[in-house]
Amino acid sequence: MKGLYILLILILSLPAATAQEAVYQTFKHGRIVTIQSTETLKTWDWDFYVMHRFGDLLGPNGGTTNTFGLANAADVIIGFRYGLNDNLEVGLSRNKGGSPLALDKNFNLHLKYRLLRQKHHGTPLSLSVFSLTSFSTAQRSLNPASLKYFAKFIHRFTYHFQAMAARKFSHRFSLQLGAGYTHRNIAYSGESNGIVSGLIGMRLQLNKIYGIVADAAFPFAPHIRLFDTHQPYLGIALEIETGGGHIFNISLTNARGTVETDFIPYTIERIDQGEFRLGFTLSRYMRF
Amino acid sequence: MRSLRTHIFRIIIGIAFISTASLLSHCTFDKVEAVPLECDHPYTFESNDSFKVRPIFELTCSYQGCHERNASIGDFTQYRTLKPFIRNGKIFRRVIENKDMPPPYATGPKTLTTEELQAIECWLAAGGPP
Repeated sequence: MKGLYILLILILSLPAATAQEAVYQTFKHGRIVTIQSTETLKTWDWDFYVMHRFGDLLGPNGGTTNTFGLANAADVIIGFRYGLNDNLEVGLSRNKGGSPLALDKNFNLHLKYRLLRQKHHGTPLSLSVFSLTSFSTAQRSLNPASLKYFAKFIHRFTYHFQAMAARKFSHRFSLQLGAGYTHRNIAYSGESNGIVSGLIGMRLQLNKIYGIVADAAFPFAPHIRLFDTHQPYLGIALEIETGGGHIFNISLTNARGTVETDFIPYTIERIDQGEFRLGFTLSRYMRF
Repeated sequence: MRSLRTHIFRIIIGIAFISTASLLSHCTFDKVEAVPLECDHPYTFESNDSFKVRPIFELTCSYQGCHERNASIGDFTQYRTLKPFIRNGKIFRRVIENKDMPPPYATGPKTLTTEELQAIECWLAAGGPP
């Protein structure tokens, strides 16, 4: 009789267990093209990644004389991420600095926490929060009108906070919406220090290996006139998962920078003038 | 192994939260200084013979090895190829605001004189006419 009860409980709990099955790989990497996705690493997993953005593909700085931008490097970022548990990751990276207007030679520390994970027949979406602190090691400028004058040490820091919600609608299609706030301790005269941004990203799986990812960031602040003085960040990439924890993408983006504190406030590159560029991301997952 | 990982986990979390909290308490809302502009002359790139900025560009930017003809980093020898840089604000930001152009490794002059800067700034303030 006791065995029958146990069997009954097991049978009853079975549909509940399958109904609550978590949805994995809404996105394959911690970044969609450049903006952060809701994905965090698994416990004790490492991710080593390199992202590269080349020079302008077309326009006065591109074309055949510059091998379509391959002769110039706009930004390079090398970083590690580490999964402290299934919902929390920490990361450290170093980037060259993409936009000539932004602070460059940065060390970036980030924390990402997953608040909700999408489940089959359960939670409808994944929700994550992300915080980034960027520290510029650039040489001090002697010009007081430069951002790099660094009158105070704290001017070397820039912060970014972001919340994003994503849903995997089918095994082929995922969509993410988010909002961000970027705070610059020092800003150009006439500009506001804080910038709010709207973020969107999507992923379309073509087959087992190939996928298309695209994302965009729209900055909003009193000094920003979008599509005039500033441009939204736009990116599209072909993502290739070669297996064994190796993810590779080839991208086209208008922004030169690879870090939120760079490409959200300082994207001025106009696609209609050929100011977009090739780039790639190499990512390798490791487990110790 | 597990307990070592738990220790590492706690240490990293502790450092991350302390550093984040201490940095957030140091948020500033500072701006770089703005200098008032006085423009008495109608500067152009080359169409007004008395007030043109082309000689400044030739002396400090568009010489051989830098922003020369068909240069990958931007051709500043002619208005047509210079125009995108005026329009997207890069000339203003780098020459007037950041003053990191010309760069320290330039083979020509490494800084612009106050008069040259004033002329370029006035020219840009007028929309950078040809």
